[in-house]
Amino acid sequence: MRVVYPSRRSLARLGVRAVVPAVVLVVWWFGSAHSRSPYFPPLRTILSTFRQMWLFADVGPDLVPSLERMLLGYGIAVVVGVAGGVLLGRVELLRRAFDPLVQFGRSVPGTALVPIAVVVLGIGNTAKVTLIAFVCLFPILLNTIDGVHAVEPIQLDVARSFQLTRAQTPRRVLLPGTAPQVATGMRISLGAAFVMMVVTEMVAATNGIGYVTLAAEQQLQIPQMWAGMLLLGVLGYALNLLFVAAEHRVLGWHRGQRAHQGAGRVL
Amino acid sequence: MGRDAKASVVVARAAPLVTVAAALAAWEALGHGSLASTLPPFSKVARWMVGAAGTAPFWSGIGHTMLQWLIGLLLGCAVGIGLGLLTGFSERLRLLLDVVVEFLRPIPAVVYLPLLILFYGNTDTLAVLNVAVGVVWILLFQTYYGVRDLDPLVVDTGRVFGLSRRQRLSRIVLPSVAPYVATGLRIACSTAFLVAVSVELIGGSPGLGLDIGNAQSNGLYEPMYGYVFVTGLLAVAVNVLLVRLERAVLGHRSATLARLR
Repeated sequence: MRVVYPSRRSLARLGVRAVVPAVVLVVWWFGSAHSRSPYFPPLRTILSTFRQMWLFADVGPDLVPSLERMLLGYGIAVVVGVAGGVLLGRVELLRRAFDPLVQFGRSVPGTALVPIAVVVLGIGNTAKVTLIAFVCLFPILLNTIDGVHAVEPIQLDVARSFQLTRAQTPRRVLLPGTAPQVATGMRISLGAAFVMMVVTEMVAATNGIGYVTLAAEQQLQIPQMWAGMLLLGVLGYALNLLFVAAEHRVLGWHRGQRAHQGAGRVL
Repeated sequence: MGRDAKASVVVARAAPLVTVAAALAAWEALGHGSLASTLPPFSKVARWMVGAAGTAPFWSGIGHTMLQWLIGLLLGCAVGIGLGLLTGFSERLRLLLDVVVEFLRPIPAVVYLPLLILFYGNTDTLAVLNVAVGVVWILLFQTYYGVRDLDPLVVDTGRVFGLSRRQRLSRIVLPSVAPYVATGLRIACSTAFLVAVSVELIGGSPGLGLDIGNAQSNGLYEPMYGYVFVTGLLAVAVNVLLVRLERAVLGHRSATLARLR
């Protein structure tokens, strides 16, 4: 019997978890079913619009360009951010020298730079990718610097005694040591990349999810607007989920190590 | 050796100034050179800023942005901290809200913007509400984890010593949750600023973002760069201030922890 209770209890917990989402959906579905309000179309209409648009007619012309720009900008930021972070983390004088610029760059709201990007680079992909890369750069750069600083000097000494070359030390000692911090920066930047993707499209674009959704609002095509918001919401959620899963896979060793250390401290 | 050490201190002190000067010089050169048609040199932008600092519209933009930032922040923080405390203390409530919160948390504020524009148009309210939506999750989670991280031993000790409910709240719960909330506040402050400027730019609420957008669409590049520069400086100021505040609060926590041990 004792074995049954916990599983029943966890079933009950699962049930409790599902209550609010279920209620929200049911209330939304039936509450909006006969809605004549132009702003709140029936959920059924929103979902069928969603299917017409995003499964999969508009995926090619709008979703793919959005994701391409976002991932390209993000990828550039990861490469430049990690390389720059290792450099600035190792060379204190460089870190100090670039500190004011880095502080300004990481503080200035990325969205305020959209008009500059439009003026200098136009409304094409170059402007958007550059801007996404710029905004994503700083969390990765700063976290990599912190990570490099957190690598124990003794680890570097050990690397030296084992006569690792200048090329081997970053790859074998620094990168694994900084990886958890880099991952933190990358997670923050992924969120920023998503925001910048949407914002650059809302301000000036000719395609993309952000563009389509805001244009629908401006033309009072309300179901299309709702469908776009729904897709953006699901995308934001899914990106985060994917990243956490990937981080878990790649950095599982780190989690294990930390847990081990934690247990050691308790004993 | 002594002279070398002194020299390296001087180099370290001078390095940031040199890079800033170099960056401004590069801006100036590009503004006169290859980017002349789209990037006015720094000297012209600076002259515009000095002139604009004496005019009302310049300060009105800053005022709108800061006011939306502050009110939205207060609103979002109140709701977030409240929900964080409730879910932190009530396991049942946490289970109930778990799925909804986990789903909504990674969705950035800008996603809600089209709907909010529909209802509120290009008003201050639009920016305030979107800022609040943007920061509520940050505070909710920080507060929640702060409550969860309460040491049960300390709570029980308080109970054993006969502290009243109110005393336990002010002596045990608040000091241990405060650092988490302080970190949440720091993150929320810069997020709120970003959201406010974005809403102004996209939704047309009055403020710096709208000023930047208007300058751009009218081809007035000196004001455009000037406003962006001012926005950046304000953001830096907000960051510096909040990091100080967080350190003050965190220092207080390490002091309490030390005393408990």
